[in-house]
Amino acid sequence: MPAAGSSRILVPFERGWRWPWRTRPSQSDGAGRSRFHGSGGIEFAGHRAYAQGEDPRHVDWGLYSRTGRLFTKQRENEAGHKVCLLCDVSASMEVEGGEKGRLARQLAAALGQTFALAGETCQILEFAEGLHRRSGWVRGRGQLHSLAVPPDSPVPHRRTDWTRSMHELQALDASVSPVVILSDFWGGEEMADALRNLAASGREMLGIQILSPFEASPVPGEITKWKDAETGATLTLRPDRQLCRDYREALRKRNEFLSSIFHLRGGAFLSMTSALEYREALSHIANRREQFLSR
Amino acid sequence: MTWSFPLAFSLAAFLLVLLLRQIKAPPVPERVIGSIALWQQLAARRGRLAAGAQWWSRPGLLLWIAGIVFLILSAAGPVRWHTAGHPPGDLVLVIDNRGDVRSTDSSFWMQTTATAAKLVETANAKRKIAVVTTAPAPHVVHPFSPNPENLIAAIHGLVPSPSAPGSPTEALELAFALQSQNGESIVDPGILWISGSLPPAMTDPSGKSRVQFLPPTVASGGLSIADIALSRQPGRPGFVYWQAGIHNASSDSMDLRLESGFGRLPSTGTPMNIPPGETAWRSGELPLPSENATPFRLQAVALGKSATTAVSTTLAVPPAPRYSVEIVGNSETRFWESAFAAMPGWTVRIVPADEWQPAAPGPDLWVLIGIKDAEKIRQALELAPSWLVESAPFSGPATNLQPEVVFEDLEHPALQGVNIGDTSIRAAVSLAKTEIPNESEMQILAASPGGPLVLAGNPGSRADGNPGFRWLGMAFRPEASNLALRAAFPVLVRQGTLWLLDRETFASEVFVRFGTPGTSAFPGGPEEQPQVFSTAAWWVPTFAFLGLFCLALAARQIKNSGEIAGSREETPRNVPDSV
Repeated sequence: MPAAGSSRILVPFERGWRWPWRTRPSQSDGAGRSRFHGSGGIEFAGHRAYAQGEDPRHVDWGLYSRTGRLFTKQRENEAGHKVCLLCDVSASMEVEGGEKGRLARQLAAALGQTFALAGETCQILEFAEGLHRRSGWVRGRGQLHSLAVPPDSPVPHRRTDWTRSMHELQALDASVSPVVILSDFWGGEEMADALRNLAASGREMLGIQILSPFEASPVPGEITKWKDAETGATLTLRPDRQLCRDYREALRKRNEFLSSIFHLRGGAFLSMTSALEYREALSHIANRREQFLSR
Repeated sequence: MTWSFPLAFSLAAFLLVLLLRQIKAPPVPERVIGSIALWQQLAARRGRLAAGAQWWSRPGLLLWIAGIVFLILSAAGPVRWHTAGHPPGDLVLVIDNRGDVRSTDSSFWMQTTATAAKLVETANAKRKIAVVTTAPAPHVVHPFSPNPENLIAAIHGLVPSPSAPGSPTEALELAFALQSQNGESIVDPGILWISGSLPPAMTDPSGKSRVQFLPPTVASGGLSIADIALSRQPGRPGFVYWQAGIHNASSDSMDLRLESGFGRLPSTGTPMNIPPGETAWRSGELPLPSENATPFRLQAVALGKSATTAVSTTLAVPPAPRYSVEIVGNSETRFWESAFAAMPGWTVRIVPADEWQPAAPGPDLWVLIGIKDAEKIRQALELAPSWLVESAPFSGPATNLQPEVVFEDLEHPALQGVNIGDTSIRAAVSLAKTEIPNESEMQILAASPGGPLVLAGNPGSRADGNPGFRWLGMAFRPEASNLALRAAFPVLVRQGTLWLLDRETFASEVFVRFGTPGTSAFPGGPEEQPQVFSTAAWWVPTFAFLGLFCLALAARQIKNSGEIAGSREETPRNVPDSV
C-alpha cells in the first residue's frame, strides 16, 4: 500500500479497462474535453483490452505484434463519459485508524486514473458537509498526477450533508454523467432522498460502500460505550451474539434498499470492508461482486 | 428514633460500599464507530435493558442512597398518628394483694404499688384504666377512668390482705368482664397482672383481651432485675427454685454480687461482671424457712460502688397451686399417685375407669393420666419414665444424660405458650417408637440429640364424630429435670390435656414463657403522648421531601440511561427497510 500522501499511480487494471456504463455519453458534454478531442468523433482515444465477441477489425494488430496481447482501438465517441468520483471525507470515514477513508481515497484515485487512461474524462470530488473539488477534469495519461492519492487530512467530527453535497454536485455538473460514490453510506433519510434525486436526474450511479470490519460484521463482546463519529451521540450496549446477528440482518436489509436506489439507472452498489488491500478492492469492483467482500 | 439512625447509617454504609466498588470497577470502554443508528434501532426493538445497557449510573446510585437514607431518617421522626375515634386500648390493672404477696418487708408492697402508679402516670392520656384487686375478695377498686390522679390515689389506698386467700381466677374473670362490658375499647385492650406470683391459667372468653404478667421490679444505678421466675420445687417442699436476669443499663461495666435469700440477705455470692447494656442470668435454689409463703428477696450489689447502686426485688414464693390429678387405671398407676402426691399442692385421685367422665369440672389445673389398656379412655396423657416401659407405648433403650432440647414444635397446640427450649433435663428417656401402628401419624414435639422427648399421636379420625385416639408422651424423669419447676410446666400439662380432650387450647399470650423478660410496658407497645404532624420536628418533612426528591431523580436517571446521552441528533439516521 502506498504511503499516505504519495502521488503514485495506482492503476492495477489492464490498460483500457472501463466500467460498463449503460448510459451513452452525451455529445454535448464539452467541458473538460481533452486534447484528444477531434472532429467527426472517430479520432483514436486509446486502447482497451479485447473482449470476446468484439469486432476483430478494431483490434490493434500492431500492438499485438509488440505485446502479444489483444487490444482494441478506442475511438473518441466511445470515451465520451464524464465520470464524477465522489469520495466521502466525513468523520465517520476516519474511525478506527482511518482505514475506511484511506481506502476510499485510494480507490478514488485508482478508479480515476483507470478511467482517464481508458479515455474517459473524470474528476474527483470530496464531500462531507458540502462538496469540494479536488481535481479538475482529467483525461489521458498526461494529467494522471492530479488524481493521485491525497495526504490524509480528515477534518474531525465533520458530518455528512448528503442533501447539500448532491445539490452542489448538480450545480457543478449539470450533465447526466455517471457518478461513483465512495462512502460508508451511514446517512439517514436525507441520504436516501439525495440519492433518489440524483438517480432521478438521469445519472448512472456506482456506489462503493466501505465499512470497517466491525461495522460490517460485529463480534460479540463486553459492554461498550459506542460513540457516533459524526453526531457524538453515545450508546452503551453489550453486543451479545443475538444482537450481532440482528445487526448483520438489519445491515443486509439496509444495503438491499440502498442497492435498489443505485440500480434505478442501471448502476451498482458494492460493499467491502476497509480490511481489504486496495488491489483486492479494485478486483472486487472489476468483478462487480455485490456481496460483501471482507478478509 | 433509636432504631432509625443505626439502620440508616448501616444501609448508607452498605450502599456506599457498593458505590465504591462500582467506582473502582474499570470504566466501560468507549469505541467510536461510523454510526450508532443501526444499534439504536436494534436496542429499541429489543429493549434497552435486554440489550445489556446499564440501568444505573454513578449519580443515580448516589441518589438512590441519599433517597433511602433520607426516607429512613424521616420515618424515624417523632410523629405518631393518632386516629380520632380509636382511643388507645383500655387497660385493667389486676393488683394481686393476696396472702402470697404479703410481706414482712413492706418494701415489696411499696414496689408493687409504685409499679402500678408509674404505669398510670406514663399511660397515654386517652387511655382508660381500671383497677381490680384479688383480696380479700376480687372487686373493682376503680372503674375505667382516664384520670391518673384518681387512679393513683386508688392504688395507694390499697392494702395487702395477708390473711385473705383471695382468688386470682375470679379477679381475672372480673377483669375480662370489665373489658367486655366496656364497648369503647376496640383497639388493643389489655389486662396487666401485677403480682409476685404466677398468673392463673385463664384466657378471655371473648378472646379480645391479653393478659401480661408484670413482676414488680426496681431499678437503681443503671441496674434492674430484668426478670425473675420462682417455682416451688416439687418433691422438695422446703425449696424454692429461682432464676433472674440482671440488666446493666449503665454505660460502664459492673462487677456484681447477687444475693438471694429470705429475710436478711447474706453478703455472699459469686462476683460476676456484666458489660454495659447486657443481661446476666443466674439461677439457684434455696430451702424455704417455713411452709408458709415467705417473701423471697434477690439483690444485686455493685461491688466498689455505693450502696445506692444496689438493686433488689422481693417476690413472694408462689402459692401452692391447686392442681389436681385424676388417675384412671389400675395398680400400675400407683406410681403416679405417689409421684404427684409428693408435689405440694397437687391433689391426686384415682378414678376407676368405669366412673371416669372426660368433661368433669376440675380445679385450676386438671391432669388426666391414663394407660394404654384402659379401653374406655381414648384420651390419655402418658408420662413414660424408664421404669414404666412395660406399660407405656414407648420403650427407653437408653438414658440421655444432660440432653439438650434441640427441637420443639411450637405450632402444636400442646406446646402453645410453653417454651422448653432451655429446659435442663439431666436425665431423660429416649422414646423408642413401639406399638405405634402408623408412624406417619406420630409427631415429635420436642427432641434431643439422643432422641425424641415429647411425642404426640393422633391416629384416629375425628371427621365422623369419632373422638379417635390421641396420645402424648413425655420422656423425662420428674425428679431429674427442672421442667416441672418451670412456670410453664402446668401450662404444658394443661395444654396437653386440652388437646387430648380435643378442646381448644389457650392462646400463647395468656401464659408466661419461661425466660420472657417482664417489662413495664403496656400491652400494645410503648406509651407515648399522641402527637400530630404539625408538632413534628422540622427535619421529618424535610428528610421526607429530600428522600422522595432523590428517588425521583434516581428514577429519572434510569429513564435517561435508556436514551442517547449527549445526542445532538434531531432525526435518527435510519433508513427504511423498503423503498
